[in-house]
Amino acid sequence: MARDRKKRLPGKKWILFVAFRFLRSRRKERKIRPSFFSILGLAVGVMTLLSVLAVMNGFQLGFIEDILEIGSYHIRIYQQEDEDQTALLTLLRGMPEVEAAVPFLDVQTMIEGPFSGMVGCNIRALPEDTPAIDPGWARQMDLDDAFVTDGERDLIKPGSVWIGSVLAQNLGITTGDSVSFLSMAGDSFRGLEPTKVEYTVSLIFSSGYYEYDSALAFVAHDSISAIASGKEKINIGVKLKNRWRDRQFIEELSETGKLLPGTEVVSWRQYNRSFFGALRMEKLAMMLVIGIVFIVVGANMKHSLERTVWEKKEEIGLLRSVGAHPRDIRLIFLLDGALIGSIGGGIGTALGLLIAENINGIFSLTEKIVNAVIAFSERLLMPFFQVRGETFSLFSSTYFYLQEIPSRVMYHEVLIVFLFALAASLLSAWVSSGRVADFDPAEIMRYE
Amino acid sequence: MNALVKVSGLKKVYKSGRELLTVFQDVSFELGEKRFVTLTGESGSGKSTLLHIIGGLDLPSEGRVEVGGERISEMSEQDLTNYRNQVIGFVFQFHYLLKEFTAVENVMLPAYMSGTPRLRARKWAEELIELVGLGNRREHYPSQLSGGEQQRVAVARALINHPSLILADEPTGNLDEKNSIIVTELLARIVREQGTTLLLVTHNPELAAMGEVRLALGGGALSIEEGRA
Repeated sequence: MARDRKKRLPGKKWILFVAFRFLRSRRKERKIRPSFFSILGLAVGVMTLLSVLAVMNGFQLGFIEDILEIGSYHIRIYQQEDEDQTALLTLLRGMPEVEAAVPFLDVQTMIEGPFSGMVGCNIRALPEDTPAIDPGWARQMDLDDAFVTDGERDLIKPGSVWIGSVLAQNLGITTGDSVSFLSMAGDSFRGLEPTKVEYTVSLIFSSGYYEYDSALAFVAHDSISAIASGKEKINIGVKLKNRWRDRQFIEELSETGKLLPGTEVVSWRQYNRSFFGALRMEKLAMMLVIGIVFIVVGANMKHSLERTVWEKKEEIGLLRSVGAHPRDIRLIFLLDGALIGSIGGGIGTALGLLIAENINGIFSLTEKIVNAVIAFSERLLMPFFQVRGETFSLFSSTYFYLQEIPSRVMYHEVLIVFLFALAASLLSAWVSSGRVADFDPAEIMRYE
Repeated sequence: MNALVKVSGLKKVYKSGRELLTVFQDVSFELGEKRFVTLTGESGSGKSTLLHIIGGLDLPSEGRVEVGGERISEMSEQDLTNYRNQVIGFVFQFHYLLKEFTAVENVMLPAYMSGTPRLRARKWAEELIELVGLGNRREHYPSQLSGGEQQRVAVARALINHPSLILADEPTGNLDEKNSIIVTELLARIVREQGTTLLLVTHNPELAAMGEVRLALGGGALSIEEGRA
């Protein structure tokens, strides 16, 4: 039995032993503990934030990808007038970072259908084989599902035009119909005279981005001269394999020395700065608003842990009297907070990801449930009132330009939200365990 | 006699509102190693306060306490923590067992806290549980033990780090007569067998009479009586 007492360095494993045992025993207790509400609050906060972020990412990335693939390109190269682009295109297409390099020309004009008035429209001239040389554009335009006349899905043929689905609807046209573009012919001395140039609609696309579907048309390069004034410059749009390497690409391009003087190279970040900046600000604002929930949850957890610290006053006194430093006891409650944060954050993350991945199913189920309730109510009230409720739809196509709710999970954001929840619970535990040092063990252990 | 505990000129004053209340003053005594010492006194005479000061849980207003040659009032918080863990074994009137831990886990905790590997600490705790006669109850939780058994577990916990001094603050105060005898005999046996000094606070005159040294606090002063009564 007798042992030599050696001077030992105090170990810290016991802290884990005590902390986990405190929590495990709490779980065994049947009644709902305040820590349950802390875990619940954190889980709800994390779940909400992740679901909202996923949907917001879905919308924003949908916009951004539509804009970058269809409209703006990753890099725009503006050349001086009448310069031969063949050499530059060959150079660009030979660079390893380049996915596609496409010459394009934009003209703003008016379009008219056989039975409609004129509406404003942006017409872009592209190479005939654009679907082949720019697969990102074809994919984002959803060409596989576009309305086409036979054999016109792969080539923008001279004399034909591809227009957006909303624009087609507004003009009351379909594939095979003719549309007229307004061209201003003449010169400034004699005066400009409007003439109409007729094209045949060979494809109606639906990109999902309303601005493009309602006001954009594509023609082949050979067809644009009838509409353009001849003074417009043909630019080059470049798609990169990694759009985030735009700055390095511009530097590399400049270092080739092949760019002619006066050539302007613009990155997608500069070109879309105001819109993308607004999207980023919108997301930040939404994160801050929803992030307020963590303040509420943190305050709740602080009160809950303070109560736990108070309830465990005698245990704290005992641990102090058998050789625990106040710092060690504080660490026990910090571990408590860390575990609450991990469990709450973990459950919230799992639920948030589940919702984000199945958002359309959840909305559809919600609609079905609400519609079932409406139908039941109607049957119930039918003998008394002539009621006829409308079918409920969360995102009716009448009001929203949506086929489904987009959702995109960005895992670095998931990690940030989880760490934020963990930090909130650790901070609460740190603050609430501060009073451990104030406890006087002599006072606590005075059993009277 | 080698003095394990040296107390000199000890004074404790409490602040009660605007008034200063002197609990005791000019308390001086020495306790040798391997002694069974009892401390008696009326309620409020400062018995527990004296015990807490010697145990490093409370600070004196004046005077000094040396245990094993080290002056307690000059210790840092970390040194005090080590002192309570290594040198002192506390037994309180209430057992203060952690309800989340089994009897053997409660006993092993001070050893585990001092850096002893868990399995070794558990082995020592099992030996001590046997020593206090609860070998068949070691995996029971405090709520599954009787009052006397709980207090015997608390005694085992006080012994795990083989302390030089056991401070027992009315350990039988909550027990019936039968259990009081069991716990008292256990403590006396520990002093004999393990060479530990026991300072036992008690209201019970019979128990107090068992002490080799009998201290009595009253009227703010301490009287000392040596030898078997």
